[in-house]
Amino acid sequence: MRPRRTLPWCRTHVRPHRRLSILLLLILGLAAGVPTPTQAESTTRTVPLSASWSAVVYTGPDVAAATVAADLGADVLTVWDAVAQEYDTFYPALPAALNSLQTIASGTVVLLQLPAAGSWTMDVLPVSPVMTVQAGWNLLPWAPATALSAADAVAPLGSRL
Amino acid sequence: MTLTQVDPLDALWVSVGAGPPIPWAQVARGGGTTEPDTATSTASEAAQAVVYIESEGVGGVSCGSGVVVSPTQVLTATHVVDDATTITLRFDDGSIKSGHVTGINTPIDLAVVTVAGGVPTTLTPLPWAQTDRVSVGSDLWIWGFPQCWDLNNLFVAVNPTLSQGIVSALQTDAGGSVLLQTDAALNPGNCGGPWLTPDGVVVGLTSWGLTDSEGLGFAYSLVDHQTVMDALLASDTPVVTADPVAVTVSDMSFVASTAAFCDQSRPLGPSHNLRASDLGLCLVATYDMAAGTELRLFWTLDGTALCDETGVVTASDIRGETLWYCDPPALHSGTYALTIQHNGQTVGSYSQYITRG
Repeated sequence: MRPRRTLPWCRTHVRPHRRLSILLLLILGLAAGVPTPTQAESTTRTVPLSASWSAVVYTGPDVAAATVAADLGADVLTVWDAVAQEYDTFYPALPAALNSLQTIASGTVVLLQLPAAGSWTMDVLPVSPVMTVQAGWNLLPWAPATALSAADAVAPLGSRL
Repeated sequence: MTLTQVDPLDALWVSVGAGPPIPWAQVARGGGTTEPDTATSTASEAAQAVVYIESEGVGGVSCGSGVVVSPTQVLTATHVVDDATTITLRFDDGSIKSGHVTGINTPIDLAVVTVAGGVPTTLTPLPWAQTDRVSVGSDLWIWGFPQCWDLNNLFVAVNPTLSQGIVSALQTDAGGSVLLQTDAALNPGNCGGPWLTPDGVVVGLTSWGLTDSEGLGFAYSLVDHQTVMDALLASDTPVVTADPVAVTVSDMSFVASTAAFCDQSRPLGPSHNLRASDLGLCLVATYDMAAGTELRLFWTLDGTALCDETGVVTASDIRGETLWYCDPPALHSGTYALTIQHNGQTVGSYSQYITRG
């Protein structure tokens, strides 16, 4: 066996009592005001919907498509499946087994058709700014809280765009 | 209509050409050439994604660094977590969470830890390099928790430390893996911490370096190992510590020596990557295992840890006598013990009282 000459940087083993003191320091530190995780405030937003088709970034918790369709009176809900490169759809009038869209996940872009203008009020959960772009077409939200030029926004995708 | 600007929660149709999926880290800043002030700002902002990792395993407790790369995943070095039975992560917001390894690649020292309940939603994952390899001379910002234990004893909830350097060389190891070399100051605890370009893109993680040297730190180049990265990040199944390969350790005997190579018939030199001063204890063993098997060796003297080594069994070492070395600070009489592990499981052990003259 040829030894690999690695730095011993990350193998700092400590005796239990030393670790205990570290934990105590952490506990004391937390008690002294070190930031602790907090629950994000729950807020809502209301998105206006057109008669006919609208595209909406859904920011609430995962929800059944049937619930959304019923609440909004939508004729059809559609989500683009970038992996399969096809739409998943939910038609309220169809039997459940025939609908390919069952759940609307948080952060998903929903295309929905309404018979009349309306609005959609939903919770606002953070949308992850890291998403996976599949080869082909993708329908994705712009997650950051600030606007950006379109060119700069898609620059990280490089020459594949 | 021409799209010139994207606004928060706009829905975008994006089309990309054929190829593997691309992680898209949306950041509200401009692309292209980065001015120095912007680079400094970007490097500073990246600190929020740096994670302190405490790993408890058979060999004890160790600490290291990692970086948030998705809403649920932290990328780190394999050797920070490879024998972990418990992994604790502390995030920038002060929250402490547990995690488990869902992807591991020992040859290029990369591992993915999936965080129970996901990383704090206030943290922005950092993108990793997928298009361009950094060139020699490029600036690097390196985050980590150097001397984590000592700083933990000095301070409360230690903040990550930023080191600056350049890509001082590109190297290729015997397995064909491409490594970045840096002159940045790195210390114990940096391992697993991200190496960033001025644009805030992770190009590698602190992996290893040469002992008794300064400014010789290495990281495997992520852009050169995209297939591995894709596989690691795609896995959401906890890595189950596999049954050890068939390892039989027997006929071991210590040869205490500090002045000469254990096997006097073999000369010292570069081929062994050893110097006379490295030699502390020699162990002769016969064993049966597959080439490429990585073993960890823990040496103790009277119950106190002496050394922690990792070695890869090469084809020529599959069976027969071999040398495992240890370089303790001072040798004296006592009970020397060696524990051999594979994938976190003990596959062999030996101890012997040795009298030092």
